[in-house]
Amino acid sequence: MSRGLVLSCMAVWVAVNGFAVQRFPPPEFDSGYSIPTVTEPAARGEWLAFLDVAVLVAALGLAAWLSLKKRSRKGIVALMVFSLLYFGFWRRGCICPIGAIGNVTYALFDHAYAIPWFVTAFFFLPIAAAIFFGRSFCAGVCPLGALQDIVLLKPIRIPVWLESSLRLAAWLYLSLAVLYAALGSAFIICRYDPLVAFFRFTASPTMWTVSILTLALALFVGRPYCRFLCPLGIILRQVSRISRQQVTITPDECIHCRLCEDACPFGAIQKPTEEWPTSEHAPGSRRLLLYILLLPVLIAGGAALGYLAHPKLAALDPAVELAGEVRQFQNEQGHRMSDEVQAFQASGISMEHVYREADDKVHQFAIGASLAGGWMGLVAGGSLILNSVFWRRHSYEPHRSGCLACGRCFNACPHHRMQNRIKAEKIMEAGIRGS
Amino acid sequence: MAKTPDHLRRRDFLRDGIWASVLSVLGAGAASLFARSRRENLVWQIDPAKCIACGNCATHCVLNESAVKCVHAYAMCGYCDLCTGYFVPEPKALTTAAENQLCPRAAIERTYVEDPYFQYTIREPLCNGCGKCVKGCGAFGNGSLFLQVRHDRCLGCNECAIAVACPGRAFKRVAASAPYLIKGRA
Amino acid sequence: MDRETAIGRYGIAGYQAAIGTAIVGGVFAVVIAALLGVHLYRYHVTDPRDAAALEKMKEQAKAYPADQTLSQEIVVLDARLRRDQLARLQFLKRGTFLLVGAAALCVGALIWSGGYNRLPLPCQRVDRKAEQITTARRIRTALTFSLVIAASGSLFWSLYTPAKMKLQNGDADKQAAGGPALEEDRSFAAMDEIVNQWPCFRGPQGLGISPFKDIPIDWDSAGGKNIKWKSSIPLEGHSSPVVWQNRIYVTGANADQQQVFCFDADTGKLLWTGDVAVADKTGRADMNISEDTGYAASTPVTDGRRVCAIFAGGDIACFTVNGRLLWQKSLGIPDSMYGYASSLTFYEDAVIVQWDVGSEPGQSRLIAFDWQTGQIKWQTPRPVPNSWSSPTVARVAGIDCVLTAASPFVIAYEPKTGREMFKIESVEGDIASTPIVADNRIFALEPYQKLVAIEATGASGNLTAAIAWQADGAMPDICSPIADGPYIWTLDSGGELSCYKVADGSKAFSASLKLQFEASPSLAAGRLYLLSTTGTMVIADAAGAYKEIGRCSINEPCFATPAFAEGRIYIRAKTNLFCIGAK
Repeated sequence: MSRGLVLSCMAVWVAVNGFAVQRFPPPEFDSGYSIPTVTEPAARGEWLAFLDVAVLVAALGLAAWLSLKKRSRKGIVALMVFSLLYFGFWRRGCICPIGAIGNVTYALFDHAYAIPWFVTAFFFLPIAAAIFFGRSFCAGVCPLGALQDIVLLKPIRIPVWLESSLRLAAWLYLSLAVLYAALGSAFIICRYDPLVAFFRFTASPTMWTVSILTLALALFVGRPYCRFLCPLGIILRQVSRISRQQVTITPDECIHCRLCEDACPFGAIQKPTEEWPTSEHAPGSRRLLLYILLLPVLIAGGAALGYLAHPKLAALDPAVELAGEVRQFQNEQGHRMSDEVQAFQASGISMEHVYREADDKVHQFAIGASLAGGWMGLVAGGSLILNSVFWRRHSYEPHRSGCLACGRCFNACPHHRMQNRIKAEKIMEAGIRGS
Repeated sequence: MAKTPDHLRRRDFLRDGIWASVLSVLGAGAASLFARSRRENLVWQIDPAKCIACGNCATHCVLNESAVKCVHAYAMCGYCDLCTGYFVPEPKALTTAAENQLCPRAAIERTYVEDPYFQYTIREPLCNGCGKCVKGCGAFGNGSLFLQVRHDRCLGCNECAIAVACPGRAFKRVAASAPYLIKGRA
Repeated sequence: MDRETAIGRYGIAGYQAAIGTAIVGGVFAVVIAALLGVHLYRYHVTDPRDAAALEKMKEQAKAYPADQTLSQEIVVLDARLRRDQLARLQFLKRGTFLLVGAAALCVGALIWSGGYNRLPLPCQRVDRKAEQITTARRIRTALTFSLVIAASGSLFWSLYTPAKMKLQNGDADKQAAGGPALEEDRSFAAMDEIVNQWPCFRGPQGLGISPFKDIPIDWDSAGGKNIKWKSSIPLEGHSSPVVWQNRIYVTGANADQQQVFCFDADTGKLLWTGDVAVADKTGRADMNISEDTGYAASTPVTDGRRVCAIFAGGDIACFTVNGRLLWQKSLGIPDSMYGYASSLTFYEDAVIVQWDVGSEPGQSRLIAFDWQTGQIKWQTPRPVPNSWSSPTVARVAGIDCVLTAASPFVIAYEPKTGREMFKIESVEGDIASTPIVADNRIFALEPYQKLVAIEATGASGNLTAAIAWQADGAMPDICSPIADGPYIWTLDSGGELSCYKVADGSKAFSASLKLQFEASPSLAAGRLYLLSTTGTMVIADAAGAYKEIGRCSINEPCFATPAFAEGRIYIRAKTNLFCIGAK
C-alpha cells in the first residue's frame, strides 16, 4: 500500500466497529524476533481482602471494648489514628462501609451484580457491632470520623433545634444514595465523598477545595460529616437505639454534678428531665394526635414532590444522559457531536433502543423518587412525633442514637477519674509490693 | 435489690423483642446477600470494543497520572514502518523526531526489528492514557494499541471516576483474577 | 486541667511553645496553600498537551518543511513542555503533602496546647422545666421550617430550574409536522414490493425502466405547461430523487452541511429536512471533490419505511419516513479520485454500500448495514480500486444478486451474506456506469472502449458467468446503458446515442443528439427519456431505429437521472425539483 494513500485518509477516525482489525497481517519475521507478550500487573491480592475484614472485625471489637469496658479515651484516640492510617491512608478509603451502602443496594435490586463477599461484610459488620455495642464503628474505626475527630480544635455548640433540622439532610442523602444505587445510576456517596481526597492525596482542584473546607469546618464543628450528612450514620443511629450495650458517662451512679454537661462536642449528652408540667399534658396530647394525623399528608406530599422531581433526578442516570445527548444532537442543527453521541454511533445500537432504555429509566425514577419522597415525608413526620413525646431521664446520659462513643465525656466524670485513680494506685501498690 | 416494677419489665420485654427481630432481619438479609456474593473481588477494566479513545481517561482519573495506560497487543500489530499510532498525520519524516510523534509524552518507543518492520513499545511511566495513539492505530492500523486500567496503579475506587465520565460506557467490573481485557485474546 | 495537654504538663511555657509551633505551622501552611493556588491556576492555563506555541510551530513546519532550525526548535520546545508537565505534577504532589503536613502541625499544636479543646462550663442554673418545653418547641418549629424550606426548594428545583436535557422525544416528529406523519413501520420491503416504486438510483433493479404507461411527453417550463409543481431544493447535489408512494427524497450538501429532504409528491411541499452531521471537518477540507460529483453525488435509497443517504465525506445516515434519525455512521473520508459518487441500494433489511476507494485495490469493500439499527450485517473486501459505479440488486436467472462493476471486474454477491457468487474480468478504467440486466445477460461498460455482455446461468442458488460478446466503440464514461430486451442503448456525454442488439452485440444505429449528457437514460412506455445537462429532455422511440418524438425543456442545468412514477416524471435540476405531469 502506498504511503500517500494512507496519508490522504489519515485525518479521520473511522467510527465503525470492526473495521479496525487486521488491516495489515502480522508479519512473519526472518530474524528470529519473538513477539513480546503484554504485561499484566496483577490486581490486589485476594488475601488482602481477608486482612481488611479481619482488621475491621478486630478494630470494631477493640472500639467496643475501649468504649464500654476499658473506658479509655486515649485508647480510642490511638485506635482512631490506626484506623485513619489503615483504612484511610493505606487502603485509600475504599472500600468503606459507608460507600458499601451503594453496592449492597445495587446488589439487592440488580441480581446481575454479584457483590464481592467482603463488601457485604464491610456493610454488615458495623451494623452488627452497633446492634450489640452501639456506634463502635463511628467511635474508632471509621477513617472519615477519625480524621474529623482528631482535628477538632474548638467546638462550637450547635443548638439542638438546628442539629435536628440539619439531620434531615443526612436522611435525604441516604434516600438519594439508595435511589441512585437501586436504579444502577450512580454511587453518589462515593462520588461526593468529601474527605477521600486526603486519603488518596490526589484529587481534582474542586474536590480538594471541598475536602479542605470540610476539614476546616471540622475544626470548629464536631464531626460535621458524621452528624449532618453521613448516610451510614443514619442507619447506625437507628440500630444503636436498641443496642444491647450503651456507652455510659459514669461508671457508677450519676451524682448530677453537671461536670459532663458540656463535655460532648457533638451535643449527644442528654440532661436529666423533670416531670412534664401538667399544664402541658393536654396540649401535648393534642399536638401528638395532630402530628399522627398529619403523617399520611406528609407522606403523600413527599411522594408528590418526589414525583415532580423525578425528571431532574433521572438526568444523572447515564442511560438518560445518553438519550438526551443523542436527542439534542438530532434535534438541534449544528449541535456539536459529543463523545457520547460518537460512541453511541460507533456502537451500532439503534436510537430506538437508547430512547426506550432511557424512557424505562425515567419511569423507574418516577416510581423510585415518589417512594423516596414518601419515605422522607415519613421521616419528617416521625421526627416531629418523636419530638412531641416526653421522655423521662433521671441522670446525665449519652443519647442512645447520637452518641459516637468517642469517650470524651469519661474524663469529665469525677466517678470515672476516681476509679481510674484507685486502679492506678492499686497497680502502683502491686508494683511496690512486687519489687 | 429492689424488685423491678412491672411496667419496666414490660418495656424490657418489648425492647428485647424488637432487638431480636431486628437482629434476625439483619441476619437474614446478610445471609441472603452473602449467599449471592462472589468470592472474588471485582476490579474496573475498559472494554476495548467499546472504547472510543476520547481522552477522558487521562483527565478524569482521581490519580494525577491516570491508572489507565496504553497497552500493546503485539500479536495483533502489523509492525508497520508508518505506524499511524506513532506518527502524526502527514509526518515530515518517519523518524523519532518529536514533531513527528503523535504521543504528547513520547511514551512510545520505536525500535527497528528487521526490514521493513518496527516494534512499538509503550514506556508505561510516561504514558498518560490520553488515547491519541489508540485512535490513530484504530483508525488506520490493526487496532493493536488500546487502553487498559493498570492494576498496579489503580486505587480500586468503589465508583471509578473515569467510568462516570466514559462516553462509551466502556468501563466494567471484571473479576480480579482476570483483570485485563486484552485485545485479540479469546 | 488535663495532664495530656501542654499546659497541663509543662505549664505556661509548654502552652507558649505549642502556640508558637502552631503559628509557624499555620504560616507555613498558608504560604504553601497560596503557592499551590497560583500553581493550580497556571497549570490549568497552560496544559502542555495543547500548548499554543507548539501547535503554531508545527503548523509552520508543515508550511516550510525544509526549515531545519524550526524542526530543531520544535524538538527542544516539545521536550521542555513535557519536562515541565512532569515537574508540575511532582510539584503539586509535594506541595499537597507539605500543605497537609503543615496544617496538621498547626492543628495538632493548637489541640496539644490545651487552650481550646474545651467548652465553657455552664454557670447559671436554669429553670429546667421551662427549658425542656422551650427546647422541644424550638425543635418542632425548626423541623417545620426546614420541611417548608426543603419542600419549596425541591418544588422550585423540579419546576423552575432549566433542565439539562430533554427527556421527551417528539421534536423530530414535530419537525415533520408539515405533512401527516406516517406510521413508523419496522418491517422490511420484499423484492416484489418495489416494482411500482422508484426506491433507488434508476428505479427498481437499477434498470432505469418505469412500468407505467401514462408518462408525459410534452411539457415546457416557460409556459408552465404540464409542470405540476416546482420546488426549490435548499442544497445542491448531483444525486437523483427517489420516490415511494407520495414521498420524494433528495439529498444535498455543501462543504459544511449535508441534508436529506423529503417532498410531498402531490404538492411539492418540503415536509422535512434531515441533517447529517459532518463527522470529520478537518479531513473534509482536504478531500478530492470534482465539479462532476460534488458533495452529494450518491443517490439515497428508500424502502417506504426509511430513507438512507451517503455523502461524499463518507457520512451515512438513515432516517425514518418522518425524518427521525435512526442512525448515522462515518466510513471515513474516502480516497476517491473524483469524489465518492456510488449510490446506495438495498436488499430486504440491508442497505448496501459499494465502498470502492483507494487508487489501488486493498481498501474497497461492499458493506451491508442493517436498515433499522445501522449495524454491519456483513462486509466483503473487493479487489478493486476506487470506482464511481453503483451497485444494483437484480434478479438474474431467477437468483437475486448484488451486481457491481469496477476495474477490472464485474462481481456478483449473494445479497444475504455478501458471499461472492462470481467475478469476471471484463471492464477496465474509471468505471462510473452501473451494470444492468436484460434477458438474463449482464451488461457493463468500459469507458471509451467497449460494451460487454455477460451471460449468467443459475443453478441451485449459485451463478456462473461467461462473456457472451463485446462490442467496441466510443462508449460513454458517465451514463449507464439501458435495455428493453431486444435492444440496448448507450448514450455518451457528447450526445452520441448508439443502439446494439442484445442477442449478438451488432450495432443497430447511432445518432448524434447535439447535446451534453450526464444523466443516465430511462425507458418508459416504450420511449427513451434522455435528459441533457441543459434541462432538455429528448424523447425518442425505444426501437432499433432512431425516431425522435420530441424535445421538452425545463431550462435549468440537470445532472441527475430523473425518477418516474405513475403519470409523472420528477426531475432534479440544479436548484429546483420539478414534477412533470398533468395538473
